Amino acid sequence: MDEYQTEIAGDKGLIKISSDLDSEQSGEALRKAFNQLFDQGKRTIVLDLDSVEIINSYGIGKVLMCYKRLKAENGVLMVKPLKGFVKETFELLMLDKLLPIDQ
Amino acid sequence: MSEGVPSPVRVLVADTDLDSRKKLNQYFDREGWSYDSVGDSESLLAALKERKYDLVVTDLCMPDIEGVELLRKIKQERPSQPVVVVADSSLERQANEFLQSGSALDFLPRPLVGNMLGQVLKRIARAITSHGDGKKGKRESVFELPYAKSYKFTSREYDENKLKLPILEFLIGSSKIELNTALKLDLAYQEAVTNALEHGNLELESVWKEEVDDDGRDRYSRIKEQRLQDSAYADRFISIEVRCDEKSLRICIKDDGKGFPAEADAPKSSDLTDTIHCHGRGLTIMHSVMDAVSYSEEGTVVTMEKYFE
Repeated sequence: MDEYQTEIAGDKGLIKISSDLDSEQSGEALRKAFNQLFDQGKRTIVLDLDSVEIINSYGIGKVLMCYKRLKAENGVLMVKPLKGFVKETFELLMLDKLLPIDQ
Repeated sequence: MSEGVPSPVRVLVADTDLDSRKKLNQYFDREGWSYDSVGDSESLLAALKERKYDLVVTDLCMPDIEGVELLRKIKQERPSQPVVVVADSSLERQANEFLQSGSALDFLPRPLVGNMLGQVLKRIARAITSHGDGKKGKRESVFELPYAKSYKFTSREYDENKLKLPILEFLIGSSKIELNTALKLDLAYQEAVTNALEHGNLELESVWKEEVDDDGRDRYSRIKEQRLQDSAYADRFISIEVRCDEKSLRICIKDDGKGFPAEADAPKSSDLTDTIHCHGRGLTIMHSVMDAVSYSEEGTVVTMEKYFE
C-alpha cells in the first residue's frame, strides 16, 4: 500500500500518511508527496496524520519544511484533527499554533 | 518486514474466532514475525508454559474461560507477559478496564481492520522489541531490579532500528509504566542518542537542514553521509549507561564530540521561533518526557531520569 497517498479536492491538496513519521525514509516520502502537490500549483495542503502513531523531531522537521515552503508563497499547511501521541507532540512544540485544523 | 520492527517478534495468537485468527496469522506472515496460533485457552496456557513469547494476542471471550480469569492465569504463568486483547467492539468498556488495570497493553476490536491492526501491533512491537547490544536476535529474557547495563558503539555502527531499550519491555510488563509512557521514553532516548551522534560525534549543524540543493537534498543529510564514511567522525564512540531501580529509570549518554554550550538545558518552549527553525525540538521532547534532563559542563554527556509513580 502507498503510505503517502495524495489527492486533490478543489483548491486543496491532501496527503494521507499511513506510516510513522520517524525516519529519514518517511521524511523523504513526505517531501516527495508534498512536492507532487506543490508542483501542481496547490498552495493549500492538508496533512492527514490520523494513522500516524509515532512522530519524532525528524518528522516534525519535514512537516515544518512543508509549512515554510507554503508560507513563502502565501500558502497554508493544514492538518486534519489530530489525536494521541501526535497531538501531544504538536501541542508540546506549539505546532498547533502554526498549523490550522482542516475540519 | 515492516520498517521500524527490526527483527521478528515472537507472538502467541489465541482466538476462538476463526476469521480473526486467520487475519492475525496473515498479518504476522506478511510482517515476517514468528508466531504460534491456538484456538482455546487450554492450548494458550500450555504454550506459555512451554516457551517465552514477546507478545500474546488473545481473544477476551473464550467460551471455556472468563476474560479476567484468563488474564490472571497468563500473568500467573508469565508475570511480565505483554498481552493484547481481542474482542467484539461492544466489549470495549470491559477491555478498557483491563487496560487501565495494567493486565493488558491494548485492545483490538473485532472485526479486525487491517490498518488498525497493523498500527497497534507495530506500536507494541516497537516497545517490546529488545536489541540491547545491537546484535540481531539477542534477547534478554530476565530482568531484575536494580538493573544496570552499558552499551558502547561507534557512530558508524549505530543503527536506530537495532538499539532499543529492552528494559522497557520489563517495565511495561511489570506495570511500572504504561505502554504510552514507554513509547515516549523510547522517543526521548532516541532523540538523545541522535543528538549525541549527529550534533556530537558528527558535528552536524541543524541550520544545514534548511539548505537544500538543486536535486532537493539538504546539506545536513549530505554531510552526514560523508562524515559517516570519514573515520575522524565515524570512529568516535557513543557510550550509553542505563540504570533502573524500583523508583526510577536513569539513562546517561556520552559522545566523543567537541561538546556544545549547555544552554540547551532548558528549551524555551514558549518561543515559536525555535519550533519553526530547525533546532531544539529534540531537547524539548526529552524535557517533556523525562522528569530530569541535565548536561555536563562541556556538553558531551546528557543524563535523563524518569521517576515511577
